[in-house]
Amino acid sequence: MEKLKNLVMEGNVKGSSARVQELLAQGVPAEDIMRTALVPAMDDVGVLFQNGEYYLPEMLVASKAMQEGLKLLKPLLAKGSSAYLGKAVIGTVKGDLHDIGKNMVGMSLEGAGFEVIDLGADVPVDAFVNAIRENKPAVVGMSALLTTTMPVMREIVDAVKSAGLRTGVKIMIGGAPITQKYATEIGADFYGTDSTSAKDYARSVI
Amino acid sequence: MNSIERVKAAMHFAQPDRVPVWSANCLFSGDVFHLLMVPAKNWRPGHAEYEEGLFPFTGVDELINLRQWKWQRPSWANAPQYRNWLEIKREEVDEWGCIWLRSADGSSMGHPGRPVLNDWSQYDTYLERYAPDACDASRYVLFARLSRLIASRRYRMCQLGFQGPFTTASAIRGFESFLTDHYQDADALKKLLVHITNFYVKAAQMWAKSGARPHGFIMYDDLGVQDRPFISPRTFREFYEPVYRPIFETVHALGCDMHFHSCGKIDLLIPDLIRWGMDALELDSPHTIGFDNLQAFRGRIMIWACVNIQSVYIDDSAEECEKEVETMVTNLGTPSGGFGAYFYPQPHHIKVPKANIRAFRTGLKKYGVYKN
Repeated sequence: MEKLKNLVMEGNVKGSSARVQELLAQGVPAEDIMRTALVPAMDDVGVLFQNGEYYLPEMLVASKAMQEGLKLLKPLLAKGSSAYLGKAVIGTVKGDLHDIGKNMVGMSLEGAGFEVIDLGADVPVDAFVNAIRENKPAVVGMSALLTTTMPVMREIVDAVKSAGLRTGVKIMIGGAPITQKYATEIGADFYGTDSTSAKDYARSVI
Repeated sequence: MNSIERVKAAMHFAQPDRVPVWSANCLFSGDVFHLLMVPAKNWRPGHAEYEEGLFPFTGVDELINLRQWKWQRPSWANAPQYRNWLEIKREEVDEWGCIWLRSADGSSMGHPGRPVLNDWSQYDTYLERYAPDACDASRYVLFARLSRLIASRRYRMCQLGFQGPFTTASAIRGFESFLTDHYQDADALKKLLVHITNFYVKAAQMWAKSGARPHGFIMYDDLGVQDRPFISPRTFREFYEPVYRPIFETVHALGCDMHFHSCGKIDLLIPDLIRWGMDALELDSPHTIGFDNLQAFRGRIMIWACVNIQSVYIDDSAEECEKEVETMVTNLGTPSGGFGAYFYPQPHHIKVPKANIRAFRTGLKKYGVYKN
């Protein structure tokens, strides 16, 4: 397991995939591989990123390596498995095409065991509401880089409330101009300064 | 002291009479006259089969509106729905083959779209299709002529490319692939960067031959996010010293100053940029790096800055904007110079209140003299 964890952290895509196959062939349950190698590897990557030791490329290649391993495990992981944390819907709000922050949150959530439904960038209010209705996610993450698109977050929170979907879902927001004050003001549950804090919050509400 | 002397004195800490002003989108005001490269006259976007449905991206729509660069429309673009194509949601292509997503209301300069070079195995095909020629003299004629007409006594700042080499490579490959290329396809990325670097080196040489008589050059690259550079300083050094150093050395060999723009918290990269020859750094949001962190570079390079566009300029009162000017002059300048006022060229895109733009000017009148 330690070897797999290191391969993921090094961003060794082929090596990670091969090691997962080896472990499965040895009869190690998929859930154990997920819980004791892939998730801790991405947790450590998150910590290294927060500490400024990893940058975006290191995080991206580690995430790719994790995803390669996860591809092999997914068919074997039952939905009731404790390694599966539930669904998360993420997107950059309408009018905003900046998706770096949103993608980083997506990677972190996936690394933690969430099934991520990524709505992309420039996502209209209705698309968030429909995705929540259809997928019943545990968390929704919204991102905005521009002060001019921030107000769309409030519209989405209000629309989710109006659709009667607010009680079943936790809403996280983030992006350069966003503040805790703004999150509180619009009724979001959490404001995250980075992808690791978003992942930690999402995990804490499961 | 005229504008040229003022900017040079600010750059070289030689006690200018006041803080110089750079309004990048104003032809007639400020100490700096900003010269843009225009797409080559013979560029034919949208004509090749692989570009069908793509409109031209020039970086500045006014070039098309004012007929300073004319698009020879391909037949598909003559359809009635494309009559006013600048007013529809569309994809545009630039000379590097990068796709830009543009909105109907023109509320931004656009956003990078799908990458043109998805797969490194297609690199040779990419080069056959997209190798913009920096030596094409038609790129420099318009602004060289304007500078002779209206800017003989202003500091002439020639822009290299539309965006810098880092951002260009990122748009060609797509942001995430570009970042992982530093690990997974390092040799291929380095080859692309050499190709891009050659364009910038030649562009600087061509500006000098164009009759524009440049004093300085500016390159707009974005190297970081809110809390750090995109890539580590070590990776930056390995991949980008061979990019920036030859460009900066070319500029110096022409007897000019090198100015550089970046967004993001890039203080960890600034020492290398200085070592490679950067003379001045332009920041739209100086708060992202922070005045404390910028102290390390105060007095070593010139810092151009706008009232912080992510907060004070758009959110705070006119009084606070005025006060911010004093803070910038004090914290980024020295008693001998080193600070310049940069007016963000698209204030309407980020909805800056007009009162705050006026306050920036008023602040410069009140506080725009260097002091201890």
